[in-house]
Amino acid sequence: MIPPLLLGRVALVVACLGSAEGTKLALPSSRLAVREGTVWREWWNSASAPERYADARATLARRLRWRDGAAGTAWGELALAGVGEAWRTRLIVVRVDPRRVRLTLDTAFVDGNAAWSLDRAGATAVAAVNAGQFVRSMPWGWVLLDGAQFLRPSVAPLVSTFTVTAGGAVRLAHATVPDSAGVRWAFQSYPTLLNAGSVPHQLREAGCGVDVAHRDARLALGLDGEGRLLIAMTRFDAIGSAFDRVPFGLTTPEMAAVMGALGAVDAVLLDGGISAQLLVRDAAGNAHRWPGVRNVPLALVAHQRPRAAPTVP
Amino acid sequence: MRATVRMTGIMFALIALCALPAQAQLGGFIKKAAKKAAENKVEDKVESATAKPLGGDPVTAETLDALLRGLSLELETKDKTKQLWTAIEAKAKEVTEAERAAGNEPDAWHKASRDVERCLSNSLDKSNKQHEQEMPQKMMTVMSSANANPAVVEKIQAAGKAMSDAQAKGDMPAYVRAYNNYIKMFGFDVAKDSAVAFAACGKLPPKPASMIKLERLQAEVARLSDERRDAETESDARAAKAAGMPADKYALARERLWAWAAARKQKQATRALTKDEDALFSARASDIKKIESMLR
Repeated sequence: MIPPLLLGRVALVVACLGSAEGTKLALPSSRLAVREGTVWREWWNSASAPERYADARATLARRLRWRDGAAGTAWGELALAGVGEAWRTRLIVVRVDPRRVRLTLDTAFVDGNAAWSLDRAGATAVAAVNAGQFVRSMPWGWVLLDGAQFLRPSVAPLVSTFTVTAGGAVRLAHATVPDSAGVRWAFQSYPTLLNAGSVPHQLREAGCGVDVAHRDARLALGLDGEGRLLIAMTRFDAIGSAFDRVPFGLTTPEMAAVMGALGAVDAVLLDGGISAQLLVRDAAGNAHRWPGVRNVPLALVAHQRPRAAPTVP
Repeated sequence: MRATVRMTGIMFALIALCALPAQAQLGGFIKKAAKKAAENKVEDKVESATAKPLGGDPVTAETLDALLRGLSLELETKDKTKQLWTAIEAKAKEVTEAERAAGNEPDAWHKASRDVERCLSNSLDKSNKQHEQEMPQKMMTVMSSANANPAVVEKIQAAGKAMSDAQAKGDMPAYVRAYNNYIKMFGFDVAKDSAVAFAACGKLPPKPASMIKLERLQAEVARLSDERRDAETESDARAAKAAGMPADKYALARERLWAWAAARKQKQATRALTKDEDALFSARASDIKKIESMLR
């Protein structure tokens, strides 16, 4: 969890620490490699981190072996290696076509405590993930549930807003609260990882109000060039899956690189660490689950659209 | 800490004053005061050297003490958030009842509104198409008179500038006003188009009382939810301050203790922590139990 106070600091930062002397504070030195068979291939380095991701840079997307999921979803896994705690990181990626599913937000509370977990996703869920960032038991930022406002919005330079219209169209808007006309579901999160293909400058240098060094289990949501949702989660990958819930993983700039290299045009970080949880259903109807340690107050769920009744000629 | 040291110095001085003869008292006091001042300086130095914020992970004995201080403070504010939750639940029940009472009225209203909006939109589109067809002829007429009259050119330019200024500022009402003025110069009347549209389609239907009530109750749930979140946010910030930790480090340490408590409750091995943390938390289990309700 990145606490709201940190965001407060992000919001207040108008110039980076290094800018006063006209210099940039470099990102902590790190690099990322992806496993191809028995070989690790480096694909990202903090010293030469791209500012912008175009299709040509979607290096990870090309290496993913997509598996078919229900209702047009697909998912795949990659083994990544980074520095320090990220030396073995499993990356799970789920791709959802919003035109083929019905997206909703779900909340759950028991005695005022956050109570949503993957068990609540239901039989019609083809994908589910915890949504936004959380303040203790409540979601952070704007939450619109079935057209009714549940929590008021916040605006800051690195806040992104995910909206779903009544017609099912999805959008990730950055640093603004989009017009709510026609919007049925909405939540906000931070920090923005990609804005129209570009990595925000606060993630390209240190001292700009974002902790660019902290490593954690990460979760991010993005939209690719074809308007499909990309959900990416990292898990510590040493010694099989026995340690998969250990909150070790990537830095925020590294996660921006992951989303760019997966082909996302717009992306935002979601609450990772012990909150991160993800479900995807395969074409045979089996649920593949990566549970979290704690229950959360808000989740984004993609449901199978009900089959249209056959028409009589 | 600094205050404690200074207070101890004063206490020493008072005890010494009572126990010793006057000169010895004075000499002793001066010596003690000098010694204390030196101690204080050392203490200050140690404090400034160790004044760097505590880390959030992995949790150390020092961080755990700080975290438990923060969590105790959170516990004090729990009643307020609990009361707010009770109020939210009660209001949410009213929303459910209001939804049931409203039946299909909201759906019917939305459908009727959409029908009217669609009709209005079609009517305005029709007018716009008509204007587009007439525009070349009207422009020629205006421009020929503009050639004869520079004031007309200035007026057109001013209206165009007002449009681009409003657009640059993102001021939609100003843009619409400027646009209406602009096209009025070519003989198009937007107000007339609207009047025609409303005459053909009728006005938007008024919201039924059941919907107004439902929206009011939903707004009350939202207000209470915001209030509860604000209370949690404020409590978290105060707790981090009490712990002497930056908010992000406090949140990280809190998550680690949470993970330990959750694993313990489910009688599972703790996989999210180091062995040292596990041992530390187990050793302090009785202290942790006191604030356990905050780790849910």
